Amino acid sequence: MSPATMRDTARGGAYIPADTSGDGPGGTVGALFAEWTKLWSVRATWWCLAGSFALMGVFAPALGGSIANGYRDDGVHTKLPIAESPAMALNLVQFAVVALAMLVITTEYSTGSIRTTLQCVPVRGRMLFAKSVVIFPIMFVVGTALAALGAAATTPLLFEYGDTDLGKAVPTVLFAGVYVALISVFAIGVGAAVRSAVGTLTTVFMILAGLPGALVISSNELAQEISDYLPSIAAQHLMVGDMEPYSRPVALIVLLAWVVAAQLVGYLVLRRRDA
Amino acid sequence: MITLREVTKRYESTVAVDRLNLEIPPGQVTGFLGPNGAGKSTTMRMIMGLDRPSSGKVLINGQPYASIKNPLRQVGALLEAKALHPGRSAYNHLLAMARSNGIPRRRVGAVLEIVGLEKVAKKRAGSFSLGMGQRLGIASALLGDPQVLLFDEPVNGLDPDGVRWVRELMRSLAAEGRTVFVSSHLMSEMQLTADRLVVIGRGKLLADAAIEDVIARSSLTAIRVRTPDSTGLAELLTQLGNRASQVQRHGDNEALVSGMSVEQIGDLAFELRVRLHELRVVEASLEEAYMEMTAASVEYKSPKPPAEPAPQQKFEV
Ligand SMILES: Nc1ncnc2c1ncn2[C@@H]1O[C@H](COP(=O)(O)OP(=O)(O)O)[C@@H](O)[C@H]1O
Ligand SMILES: [Mg+2]
Repeated sequence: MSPATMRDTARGGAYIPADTSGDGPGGTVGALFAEWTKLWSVRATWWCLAGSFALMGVFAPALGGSIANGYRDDGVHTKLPIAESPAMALNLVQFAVVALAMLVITTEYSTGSIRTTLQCVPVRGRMLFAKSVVIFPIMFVVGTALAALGAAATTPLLFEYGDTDLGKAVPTVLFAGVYVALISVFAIGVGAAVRSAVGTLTTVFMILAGLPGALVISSNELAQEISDYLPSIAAQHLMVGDMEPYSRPVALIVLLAWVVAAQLVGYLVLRRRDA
Repeated sequence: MITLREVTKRYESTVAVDRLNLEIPPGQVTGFLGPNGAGKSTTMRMIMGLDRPSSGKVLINGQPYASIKNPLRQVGALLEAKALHPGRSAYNHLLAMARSNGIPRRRVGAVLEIVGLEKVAKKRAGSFSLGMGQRLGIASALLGDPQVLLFDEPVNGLDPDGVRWVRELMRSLAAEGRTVFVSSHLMSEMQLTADRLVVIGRGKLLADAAIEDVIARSSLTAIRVRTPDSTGLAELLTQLGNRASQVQRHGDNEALVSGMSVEQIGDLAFELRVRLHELRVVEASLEEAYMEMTAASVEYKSPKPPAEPAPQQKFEV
């Protein structure tokens, strides 16, 4: 036992029956409250958030700066929308966010606290729903803030090559929020299916980075086409809104399909396997 | 009331619980006994809807656990201690549980007080000792003030004072009319706590009876016969030989007879005109009755009797 372990010097008292006035809602709403409480009462949440902002703070300006330098060296007179380098940086930064989302469920399996959670909320679907519904808006805010701060940090490094048109920047920033929220819910679904943190992170990493990496470098045309429908590529189309090879609504549908598939698999595993 | 009907749980190669039928009534402490690996924890996990039975039904007050709305208000359980995030404080752990079932926040303070953890409530639960972890587990079981309570080996890691406290708590909960189902692999603990015993071995039900009946039914419970008349004793034992399940002779003047009542032996001695100096029931201890029952089902038999004092002494106070 670690030296930090305390000694049990407690003295138990007599039983006190509950005073039932002022009951809360319980049920599905109670499950949401519980997930909210759990999320903010562990340090990992804060570490992952701090990590994601630190990564964005470094990578968005670095990417933007090097693109602007490239323009200067080549003597081209194009402009880079200020929110585009944060969107690109999300390819990396998303893993800090994904880590936070998947920990919401994988930590419960690694610590055994899933047994407590399922005692409180025994309906498997409700438990998964509560985790996902709590994570979604939080991650929307996080993703939006990440992209906005990334854009703000990048702008001075773009010099005359920066395109500060807010009509382009604002949608990109908001869709970054949408993507981060969706990919977090996706990660929770994978976490419910895989259960171990390492297994979940590996699976998500393969789908978000490994697979597109492999497909993009292959010379096979079909592989290239398939890669367009992977979540992290669809995310770029969603955020940048480039219409090629498909529009934002299509990108959103592609992403939603991934989220629904992951949640469905997670739910089926929860239903079938013992806790 | 907890009801199990023909419940079987199979893992890949093992049958952990084998066609178990049980009714755990309210108002009593029901002890759930069996050697390690007998299937006690598996049974409790199935009652709590954590493990799914391979076949059979498990009901609490007539409902499966998962269909109970806000279940903590009806059923509380301490399964393994420390089913919690080590980085979360004891208070927040209980608060999240309370919120999930609409239990007011002040109940968290109340249960922490009951178990005596109010001073360390804001400390990380991971820094707790085994005994404190058990206390926190007990606090979470009491959170919803439930009518049905399950405790899986609750005294593990507690000091003698803690053990006594748990025992009194269980008795007081049962006295209020609640259903209390407590597992242990130690008869000595159950002897002091339980009204009824459910004994299992290798997943099978071995006994389900009031404590007195468990003792009475043991073949180790016998009638001791002593007489100054050694030829009379020989004659008595010959007659008894056909009817008693076991007759053990100790010297010329004494014998132990099992499987017959005092009345039957007394009447026979009267008929045969054998003078008796002693005729009385020698009860098996509960411990002996339990050992006898489970001898065939201990999962990993030790090759030799252990030289150390038997572990069942550990929690005796
Ligand atoms: N998740 C599991 N997977 C495989 N076997 C298990 C699992 N849980 C328990 N068992 C086996 O089931 C049997 C009963 O275990 P358990 O219920 O823990 O017994 P007890 O609590 O009475 O000591 C043991 O043989 C154990 O190895
Ligand atoms: Mg056990």
